[in-house]
Amino acid sequence: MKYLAGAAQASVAILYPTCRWLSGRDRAAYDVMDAALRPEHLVGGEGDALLAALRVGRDIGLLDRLGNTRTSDQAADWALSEPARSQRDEWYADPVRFRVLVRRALLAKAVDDITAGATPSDVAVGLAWLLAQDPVRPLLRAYGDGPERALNDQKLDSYITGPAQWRPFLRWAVALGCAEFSQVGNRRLVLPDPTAALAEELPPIQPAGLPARDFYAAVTRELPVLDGGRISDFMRAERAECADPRGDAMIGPAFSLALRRLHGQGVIDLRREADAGYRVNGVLHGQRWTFDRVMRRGENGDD
Amino acid sequence: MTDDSFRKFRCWRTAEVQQTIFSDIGSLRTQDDAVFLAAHAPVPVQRQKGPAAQGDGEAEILSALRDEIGIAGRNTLIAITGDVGTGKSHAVRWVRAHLGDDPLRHRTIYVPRDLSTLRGLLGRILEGLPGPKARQAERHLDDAIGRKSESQLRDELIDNLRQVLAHELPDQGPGAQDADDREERSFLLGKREDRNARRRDGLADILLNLRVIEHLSRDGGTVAAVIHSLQAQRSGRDESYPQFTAEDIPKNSVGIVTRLDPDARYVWESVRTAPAPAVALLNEALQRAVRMTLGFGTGLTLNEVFLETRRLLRREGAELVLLFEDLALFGLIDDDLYDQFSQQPLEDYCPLRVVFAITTARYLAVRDTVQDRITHHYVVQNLESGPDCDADPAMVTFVARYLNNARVGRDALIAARSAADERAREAGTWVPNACEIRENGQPCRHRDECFDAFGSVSTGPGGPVGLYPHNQVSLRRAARHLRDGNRLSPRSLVNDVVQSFLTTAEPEIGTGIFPTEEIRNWFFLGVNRARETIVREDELPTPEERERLRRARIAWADGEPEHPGIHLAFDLPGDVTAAAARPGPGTALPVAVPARAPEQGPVPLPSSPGQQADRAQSLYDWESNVTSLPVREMEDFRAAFHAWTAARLDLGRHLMHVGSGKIQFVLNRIFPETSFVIEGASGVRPTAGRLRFDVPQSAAGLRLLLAARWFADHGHWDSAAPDRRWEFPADFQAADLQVELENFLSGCAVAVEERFLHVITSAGGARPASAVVTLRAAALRVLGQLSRDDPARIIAAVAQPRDEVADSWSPSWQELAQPAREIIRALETGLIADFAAARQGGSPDPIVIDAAALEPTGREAIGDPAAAVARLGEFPELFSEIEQARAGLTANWDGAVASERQELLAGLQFLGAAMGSAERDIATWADELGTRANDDRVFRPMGTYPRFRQNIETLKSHPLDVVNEWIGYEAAICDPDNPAAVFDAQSWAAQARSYAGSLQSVLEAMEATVQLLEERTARSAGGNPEAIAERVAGRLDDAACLLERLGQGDR
Repeated sequence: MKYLAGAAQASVAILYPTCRWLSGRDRAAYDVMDAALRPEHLVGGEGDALLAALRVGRDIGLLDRLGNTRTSDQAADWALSEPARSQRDEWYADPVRFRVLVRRALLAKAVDDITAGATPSDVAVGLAWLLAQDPVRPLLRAYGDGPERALNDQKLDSYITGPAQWRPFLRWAVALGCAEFSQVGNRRLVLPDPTAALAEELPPIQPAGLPARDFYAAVTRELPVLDGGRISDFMRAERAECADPRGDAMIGPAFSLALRRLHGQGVIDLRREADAGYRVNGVLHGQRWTFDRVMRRGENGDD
Repeated sequence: MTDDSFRKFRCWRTAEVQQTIFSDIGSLRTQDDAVFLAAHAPVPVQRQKGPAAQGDGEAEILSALRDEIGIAGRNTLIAITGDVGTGKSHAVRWVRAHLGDDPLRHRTIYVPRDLSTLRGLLGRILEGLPGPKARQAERHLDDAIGRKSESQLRDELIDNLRQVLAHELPDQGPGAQDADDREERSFLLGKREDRNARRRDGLADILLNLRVIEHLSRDGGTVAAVIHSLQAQRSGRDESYPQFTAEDIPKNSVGIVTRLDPDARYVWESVRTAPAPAVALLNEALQRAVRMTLGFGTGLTLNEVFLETRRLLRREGAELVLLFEDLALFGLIDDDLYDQFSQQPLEDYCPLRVVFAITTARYLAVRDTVQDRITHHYVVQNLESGPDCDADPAMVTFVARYLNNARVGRDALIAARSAADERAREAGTWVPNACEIRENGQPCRHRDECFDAFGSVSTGPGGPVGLYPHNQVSLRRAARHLRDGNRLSPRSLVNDVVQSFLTTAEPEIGTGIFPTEEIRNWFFLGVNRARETIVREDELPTPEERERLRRARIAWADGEPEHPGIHLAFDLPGDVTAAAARPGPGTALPVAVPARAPEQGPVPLPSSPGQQADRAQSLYDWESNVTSLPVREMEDFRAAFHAWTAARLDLGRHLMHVGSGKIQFVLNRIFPETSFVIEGASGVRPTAGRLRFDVPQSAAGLRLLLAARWFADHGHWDSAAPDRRWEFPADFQAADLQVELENFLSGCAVAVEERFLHVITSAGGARPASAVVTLRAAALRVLGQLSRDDPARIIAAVAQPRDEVADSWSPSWQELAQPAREIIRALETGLIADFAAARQGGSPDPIVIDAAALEPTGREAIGDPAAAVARLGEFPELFSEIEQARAGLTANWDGAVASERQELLAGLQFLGAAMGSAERDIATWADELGTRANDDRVFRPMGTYPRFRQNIETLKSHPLDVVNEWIGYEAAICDPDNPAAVFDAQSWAAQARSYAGSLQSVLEAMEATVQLLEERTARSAGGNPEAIAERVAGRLDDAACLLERLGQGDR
């Protein structure tokens, strides 16, 4: 499903109160849900954005549309899907936890699509593309000021076309913890930076640490838009030949930046070991760097 | 020295430093010429006036003087000017030392600066002058001030001032004076009959007044200061001689006016109220009065002494050479000297050959008659040193000579000069070189090692002299330090860089603590790199050791690894071999190597208009505490940090509308630009309640500011970009700085979000949107506009605009109803959407609201508004509108409900009783009866029929089933455990109250009317009234029954 083309108004921000509300009931008719989420006197206009969010939510497996398949979305009942019903207090208590749920669902759906030979969502492929960019030079937020050309040159314009799709894509990227906004003078920038997403998907790490390769496999499994993940590989297979800041390293600059930021924050400790056979190498700012083991630090940054 | 090695080596001793290094040549005794000459370096001079002479510097001055000696018929005046401390006195002293004695040709009077009192100066001059008058003058001087107390001298000076004012000051003042000036001068000086008479009723008479004398001669006054300068040591160089000021005039007239003659009183009033002209007259009289006090008054003057001397020398065919190290010393007697300078030899006097040094500023003040007679003028050039160049070679040589003096010692210098022959003296080979002779005439054992580590310089024929404990870098930094303080001069070099520094360094090196923080007093410690790159954290275990090593590396090696010899000599901490090859700070991560071999070197920095040099330097200086961060830069950093943090805020995910004025207001309150506090920079600190993010004046702070500056200037992290505006600091990895900046900003953004969510939350844990829903729902319940049937669409109901509600509440309910009305009127529903709705992009329109969070609070408020309001808890002042609403509804809900319950029950019970007793519709029945009674003019109470009609209409407007429905609620309302029934009743309570009121009024009117009819009937029919009443009642009942039937027939 092309979220950016067919459901451009959908967003994590809209899905959050919607799923929150549905988490308190088994199912709800659209009319009832619409009346509750878009009450008179507070919310005006049509419910297009809500419908778009419901459709994306359904596509990524968060929501179920109940009733006759021939009925329209507005005539159907809606409910959280069975997996999304678990741990309601955790997923819907705050927006940070909720985005984890959405990100996992969205990326899992994309991986399933790839596995099934179908085309993954434009948002998923777009995220993989964004995280393959070099954070040394943040992108300009305006579509025509660089992103358009980059997407066209790399033959990925079929996934993100025009500013009307670029803007919602950036909303997805930031909301899912894969980018940060910045501004220098009049230039509004977007920095490909999956630090937040990575922090939320760190695998369990025993006191002895985790070999770098195992760590790498775990995080690319959870975040397949990172270098080496299924969606990233798909994106690279799709796009045209172009200069890749990752070079021949395993992890590229954006992934490296996130790891180094977590290391700097004291969340994890990236260590080297002599003659380690499970070394992971990366590149950041044109410099090659490596690590062999990942340790988890305590609350205060201690091992 | 703890061992025989170069470790902690010192080749000077503090005691020798004190005896051989003199910051002020004036304080060097003339018998110490050896010390002076051994250290003397050529003084660079530029000839401004006069014919050229042989040689350079002071040699040229000497040649000019020698060339003049023997030329009859004219004086020679050679002025040497320059800034303070540039070496003028050195030049004069060198001329004296090399002029040589030739009594047949000239007599020399040398006046050094070490003569610290005026008396000493005069004595030195007189001592050199031949003739009886000079001897007589010496006796006068001794009598005048040599044997008198200071207080006696003060009185004498005031007496002499009075004498000068009364007799000697001319009637016409100096310079151009207009008529007013002349008149005022004459008025102040007083009247006199002729030029030889004493002036009366003027300043001189005022100086006779005891109060005035006491004030003038007070401690701290000008008179005391003048006498002090005659007798005691002067406090400093080139200081101004005392001058009278308005402070020397008494402020009030107590004890003065009454003791003055009438005419003098006018003068006193003028002096007191406008002292400036009188002060000028006192100063005009001061020089003459001082000379009189010194014994050069009437009978014998310094001028006469000079003239006699010159006559004597003329007869002998000799000339008089006067050498003044500092002409400015003479101040109060310079007129006498200047008179001599102006007095040409003519036939009677010998020529004068004068060489004098004077500061440029004072030279400009020398009177024109002298300046016009200057034959030669030399200007001493000060030292120059650019900020980044090597130390000036002349300056290095200059310092090296003094260092050698300190090593050799005073006694050895004097002995060496004494033992030297004239040729050695002329050639300068007599000066011992400590580096060559230190070991019993053999070279110092550390000579080579020392020269290799610290450098050496040739100071002349004695061979190279070591710079230890300085080197070229430290001397350049010392010069920079002096220059930055606008103090760079040879004198400051000697004083600071040699004397003070050696004195401090000697014990510190010996105890192994050198260099301490105190070196900041001598060296510029700025460096073009981060301090952590100079000594890494892992290089030494303690911060103190790292700082010590950093200081040494900065002052002696510009931040580079120090020479191993320096490390050894200063016994610096750490491994001496580690110093030479140390890696950059790089990342904390183990490996950072180039990913690919660069195909070409970095693109050179473009020389475009956008290029900015040294953008990092102010940050290095800030980190090293060399200079504070400029205010403008501090403000730029604050603005950038604030903007970047704000860009990272994602309040939208918390369903907050960032574009809302309210949310911006809250953000501005908790997170102003002043939240960023840069240590060691000026700027307003955030007030209480505001977030604070500190940027420490440390290595970490430097990295952060460097990163911020680079990113702000470029918008990217490509340190090799062709369009870069300045070079990325070589000691850092751009990736590390990016990581640190991103983490800092993300941390700030998280803190802002957390604080924001905290301050918008009430003490009870409620957020604004929930609070608005709760308060509006509770208010609507109080006003009877929200029923228990509304939960399904509670948010819409709460947000629905409401018309103004009529004030028709029971008195007991007013306590709740009034604030409830205000809430419905004033509490904006927009806050619900601002604080609990998702939006799309920058659109201000909410798309979906957070119903899951809001509906429960609305339902709670419907069910138990009192409890719901109580649970909200207090809101911060930022949400005063919510807090005001909450406080309004913080009332005695139980009491109000209980009272309202009673009132409702009373009304319902009345209605029940009234409606239950009537067999037909009371309104219709009363309407007919009342109408007939009114027609018969028997309606009572009189004049209330119109109101009766209104009440009838009220009753008729409510169908009976509605009234019965009200009555049917009685049981629920009666239940004390069912307060909701009371709130439910508010939807009809006002109508019921109105209905009951109307009914009661109607019944009362009917009763009054019936009573009137009974009375009239009784009177007209006679009989007892009770019987008549029964009959009337029976008729009324009949009529009622009839009416009822009719009514039923109508229906």
